[in-house]
Amino acid sequence: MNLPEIRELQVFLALARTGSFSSAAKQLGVTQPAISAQIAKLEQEIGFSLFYRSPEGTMITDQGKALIPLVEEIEREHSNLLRRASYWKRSRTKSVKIWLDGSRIAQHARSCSTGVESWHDLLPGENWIDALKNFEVDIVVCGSFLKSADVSGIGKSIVYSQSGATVTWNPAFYGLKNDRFSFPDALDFPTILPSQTLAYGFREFISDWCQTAYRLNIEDVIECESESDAIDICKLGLGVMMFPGDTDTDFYKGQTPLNSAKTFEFVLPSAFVFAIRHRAEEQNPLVMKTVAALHEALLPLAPSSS
Amino acid sequence: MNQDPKNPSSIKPSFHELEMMEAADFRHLNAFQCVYEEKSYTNAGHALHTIRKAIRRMIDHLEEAFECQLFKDEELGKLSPSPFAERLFNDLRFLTATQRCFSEHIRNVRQNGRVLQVGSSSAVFRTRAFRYLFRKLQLMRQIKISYTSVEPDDAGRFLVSGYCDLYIGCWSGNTKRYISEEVAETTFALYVPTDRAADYSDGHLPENGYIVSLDGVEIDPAKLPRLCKGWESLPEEKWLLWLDRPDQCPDDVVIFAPEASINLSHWAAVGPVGFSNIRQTLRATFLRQHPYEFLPALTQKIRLNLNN
Repeated sequence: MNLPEIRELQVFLALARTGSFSSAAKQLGVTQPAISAQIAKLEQEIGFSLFYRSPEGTMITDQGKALIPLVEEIEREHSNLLRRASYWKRSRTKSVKIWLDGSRIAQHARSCSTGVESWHDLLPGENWIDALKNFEVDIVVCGSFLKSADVSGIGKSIVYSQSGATVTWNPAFYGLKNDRFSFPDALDFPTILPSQTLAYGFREFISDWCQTAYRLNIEDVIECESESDAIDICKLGLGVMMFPGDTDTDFYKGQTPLNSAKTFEFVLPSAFVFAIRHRAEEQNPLVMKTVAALHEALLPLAPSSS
Repeated sequence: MNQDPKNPSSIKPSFHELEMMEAADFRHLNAFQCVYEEKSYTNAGHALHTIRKAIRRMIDHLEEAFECQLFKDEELGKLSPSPFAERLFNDLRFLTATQRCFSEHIRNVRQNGRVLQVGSSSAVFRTRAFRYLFRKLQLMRQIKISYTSVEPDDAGRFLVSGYCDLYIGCWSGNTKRYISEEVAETTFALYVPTDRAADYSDGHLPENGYIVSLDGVEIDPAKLPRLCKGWESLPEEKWLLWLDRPDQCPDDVVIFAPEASINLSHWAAVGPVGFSNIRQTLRATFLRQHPYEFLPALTQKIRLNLNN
């Protein structure tokens, strides 16, 4: 039996996921008759029907459904292979792919270009750990909280770290005092916390602490995927923000002044880490050289408190 | 760099990777693997049943996409792989393994029996001829048979959409889109409700008669014995209802219908023996372009089996 080509498998997956010929065509950037032709060819090669056309739309058959995980696996391996090949190509053509998060320090790295780098911005929620491991990217410059980025296979060159956690609030809505700040007071209000992916274990830590130290539960929680989201919500007075490390409130000030108080400094010594991340077993010496150069360039910009 | 919203664990490839993807088809990678193993374009061509030039073209294509030389011509006409080629060959093992799983799965499905959806109208379903045919299909190892009720008006639509793989009945498609083979014949009989059968034991027939034909194919009443008040056409649904509820059948009526598996306490066959000569042909119809390559052979087999 002739194995179907990658194109046909991609068409199959697109159709299986979208459930309609026209959406699959739009997704892949081809015409709808082309999709029909590919599917018909695939069905002939495999020897059984994958889809049946009903008035409600295209439905996948049971035999087709059983194929989905196998085809996804093939597509994944094919992508992996191409990513590795891209990586080897980058090694040969002396270029380094770098992702930056939205922080000012990371963005400053662009101005320290030595000509080998190709810069991209990290989108929120993007899994850069997998991207690094898969050879999608060579260097990621970003911050991480607690243990979220401590994965085997990823190395880091720390630019700076911050201890403790910061409680931030809009004084127009909440009457908390920053000079005589008392943590339990903040618990009366809705709490803005980082999500599990943003600050691994932070919410658990706060909940446990409140339970054991104050016998209080944090009930009303707003979870955020990024610090900027949290700041926006905090500005609207929807709650009191609790984030590990320092909150760069000066930067986010705009027209709405926020108050903040630092706490847990001894309990969370390096809660927030801003570092240059790379593969732990990196074979390309140019990447490591670039890591060192970036480290040198960004260290002077680190905030003085660490 | 974007995540595919429908598949968050994937990251959409960059432009360069897309170019590579267009070049690195499975057949190119397969050719590469073959050349690596055979250490020669010509031998790889032999192994893949193609010419040296085609192999060379595919390798050139890959070299262009990866922007790297893959093989070097050493002495004695043997090729030596570049370091890039070594790494590529090594990493291809994973892809090859997943492809093998896929092939095996397909092979298993084909060997263990693919599901064959057989469709027919309810009236055909009740005929003795269909029951016999269905039982024969159930015994065949290459298929897993499943039944779905399909009225003749919907048969074309169901076959085209894929709901039904094989339609059994008197409908035959009548266009080049379908292939239709005769596979069986139904015999007919004259039926009266059992509780009135005694009235006709002397051989005379009731005054009225109904004809039930399959899939709307008309039977000429001239071929049937003359009745006082003549013959009328009976819709299939009514016949199916009366089969289980003979009390609903009016008095002094005989039904000329395909021989069905009937409940003898409800219906009895009567009348002169000669009428078993009238038959309707049952055909098996399927789409010409159906992915099941065994359908033509299957219908032949059914026809041969049933005629033995």
